[in-house]
Amino acid sequence: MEEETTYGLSPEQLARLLTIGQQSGDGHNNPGIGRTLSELLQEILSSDLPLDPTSPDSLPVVLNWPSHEVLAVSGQTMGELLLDHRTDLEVIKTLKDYAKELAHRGRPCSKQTVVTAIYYAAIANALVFHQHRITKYSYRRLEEAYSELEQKPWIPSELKELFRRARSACQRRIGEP
Amino acid sequence: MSKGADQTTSEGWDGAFHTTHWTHIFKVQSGDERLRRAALEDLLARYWKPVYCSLRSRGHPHEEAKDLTQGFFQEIVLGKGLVEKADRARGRFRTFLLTALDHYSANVHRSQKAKRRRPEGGLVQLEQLTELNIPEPIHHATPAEVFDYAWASALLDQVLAEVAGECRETGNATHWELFRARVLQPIMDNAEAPSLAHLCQKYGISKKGKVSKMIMAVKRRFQAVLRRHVRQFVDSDAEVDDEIHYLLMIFSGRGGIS
Repeated sequence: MEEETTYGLSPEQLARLLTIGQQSGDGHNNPGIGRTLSELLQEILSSDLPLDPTSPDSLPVVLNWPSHEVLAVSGQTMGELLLDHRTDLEVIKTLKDYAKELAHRGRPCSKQTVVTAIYYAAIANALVFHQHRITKYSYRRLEEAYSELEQKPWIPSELKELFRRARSACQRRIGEP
Repeated sequence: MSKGADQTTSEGWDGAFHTTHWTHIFKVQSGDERLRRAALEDLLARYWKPVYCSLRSRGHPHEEAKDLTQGFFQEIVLGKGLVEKADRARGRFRTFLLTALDHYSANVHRSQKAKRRRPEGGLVQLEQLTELNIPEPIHHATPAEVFDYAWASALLDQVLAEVAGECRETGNATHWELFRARVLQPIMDNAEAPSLAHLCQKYGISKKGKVSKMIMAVKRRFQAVLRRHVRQFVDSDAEVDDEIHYLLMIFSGRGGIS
């Protein structure tokens, strides 16, 4: 780092830098003290899909996913799949179910918040790229949720853009059953 | 811990593995003048900044704080054999040092007396010290909190410089730039992170997944280097997490400055 120093940053900024250095096991667990939602979410989005069958939090274990489906998405990150218009709708549905299951597992609050964002990102992908609603939630409720998520400072810009497009899609369909 | 678990440790005379940091302290205590001098220089390099900043936070202007820092190291650390009295069983060395600094600061007769105690020529590293003001975010912090802040800041500077240097030396300069743009700079500037698409375009990388993986690789390296540095100050791998948690506690406002 040339001529840059952390001296002068706020203590909170130092804490954020230190959280980068915290070990997180498979990259998804142990959010730890001080870890920000932004860092936790970015780590999940940028990590390969959790496909290790020996991990209790992995997709194959949580959803009892068939091995051929596991192979089809191996090597891709959660973020790539959620933001790509080419991701198969069945895969998107699986990611939504996976996030929902993790959110219900009584994880730390920060993790629940982050997997809830993943959950809504999967629904947004289906709405925007497949013109398909994969939840029983009404368009009005989804529109409200996306409005709220768009305001969250810890959501990365590319995900906010997906939420913005999903909100627009919902607005056009409010009133539909 | 096992010998292979941390290359930064060295085997002490009792067969146990001591942290690098305590090994330096033991060298000071060994009585070998050459080893003692080298170890003291290492300790000075590690601690002049927190000592100086802690003195600044007690109201001493730059020159006075610089003289007092010199005086503290010369008179207390060297003259009264402070390091020789350090006992690992009594906790963190920096807490021990800070307690001694508190006593020194309370007893010293401000700048005139401090200047008289200043060694001829001064301690070389401190002579080059340019003025460091107490950053606005910690202006009202206690001297002890400022000490921890300056210590952690210096630690992070060393870690970041090492990771950046490694990336460049191994032909991974782009990895570092991506990490810097996406992770480091947003934290340092309190700004939003650029999108992966933007980084792909800027660095001519076709896939966002590749950018993610390059960033993750540097992040893992940062984790390893930070842990290795922190490991030098604690007695076991488990305590590395405790030490980082402790710093997070005080910096995130749960246990001190905020």
